[in-house]
Amino acid sequence: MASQLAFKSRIASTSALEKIFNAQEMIASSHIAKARTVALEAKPYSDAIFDAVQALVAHTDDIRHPIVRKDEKNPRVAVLALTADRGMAGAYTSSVIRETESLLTRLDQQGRQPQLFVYGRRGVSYYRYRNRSIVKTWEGNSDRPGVDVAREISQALLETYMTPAAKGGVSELYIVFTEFINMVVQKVRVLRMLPLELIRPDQEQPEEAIDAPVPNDEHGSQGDRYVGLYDFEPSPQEVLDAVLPKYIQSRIHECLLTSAASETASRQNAMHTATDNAKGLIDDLTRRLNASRQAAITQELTEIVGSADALNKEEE
Amino acid sequence: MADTGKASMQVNIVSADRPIWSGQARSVTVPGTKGSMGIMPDHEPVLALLQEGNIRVQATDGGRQSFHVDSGFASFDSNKLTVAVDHYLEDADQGQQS
Repeated sequence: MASQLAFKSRIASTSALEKIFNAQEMIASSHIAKARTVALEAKPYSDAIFDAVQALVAHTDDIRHPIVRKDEKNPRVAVLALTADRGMAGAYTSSVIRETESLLTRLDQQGRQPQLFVYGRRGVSYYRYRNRSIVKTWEGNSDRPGVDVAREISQALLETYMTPAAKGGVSELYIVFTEFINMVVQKVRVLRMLPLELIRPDQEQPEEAIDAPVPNDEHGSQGDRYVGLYDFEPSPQEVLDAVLPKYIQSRIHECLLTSAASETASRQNAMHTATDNAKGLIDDLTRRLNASRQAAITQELTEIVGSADALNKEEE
Repeated sequence: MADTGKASMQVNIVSADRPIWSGQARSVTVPGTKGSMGIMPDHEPVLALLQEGNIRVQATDGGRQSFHVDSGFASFDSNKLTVAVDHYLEDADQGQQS
């Protein structure tokens, strides 16, 4: 049996760890509230953009913009994976990576050439270590992404998308992100962001055919009031040029925010489990420490009784 | 509509990361790319791009608000004005609370 000293030091280190896990769990749960507020505050803007895009779609005859055009001949596609900056978030990053890998394999099988874009330090180091070529990476603040990083990402991706095929442009953009459903459930999703599929409001369809993460309730009301008269300043084409990139940026921002909330939630869950495990370990170690102390006492008693007996025998 | 009897419209001003102002207003001036644009209640539906400048709001309660913003767009439809901007820089001049 291990010495009592060894047990004591293990218990001490485990309880120190438990305190850290517990603190991390509390930090994560406080961040969740923050992540929720941030997501709520960004909602009016994305709603406004969505409405504007709907208005544009409803009031212009035919949208001929590269963002909605599909260039089938170009095999190159861009894949953006949203991962975490830090670990200790359970399977958060690894499930995103698993989904990304399977998407890449699928695209490969279709004869496409996926170009990888990664956000988050964990994902970047994963692919660097495996010598995957990454076109561009972003790091930092994966648990509270600001508008700036959303802008950087969308600008870089749009630039790649708008580049002609001959110069290394891509024809499609997929985003792998984690949707925050609730505190316990977060789902990894693949969204085809570009080219946009614009659907006229009267068609009663969500705006993107696949995996549109945010339901848009304004949708129904828009359908009924089709007004022929609608003024675009300075011109429909210029408005389109300005609004569509903003729309992409706001969608990417939305993905970043829901991923951040998921990351925090997975971190909280992981830390909760770790705290529980540490507690279990401490209980177990304490029990074994007690047993070993008891054994030592019993042994001492036996020795005393034995030697007393021996002394008594000698006297007789 | 507004209790004053005058026409009013619902105004929402939002930036990319948070809502800035919302309420009833009598008139709003926005910095359009082709010069300032005044919008009054029952304006025709419009979607206008904005450049950097000040948004001035005359609220129904008499308050005046001014917001300095960079690029964005304003859309007016069904007596509802939505101004979405990339960045809200700061209050341009002293408006009353929000």
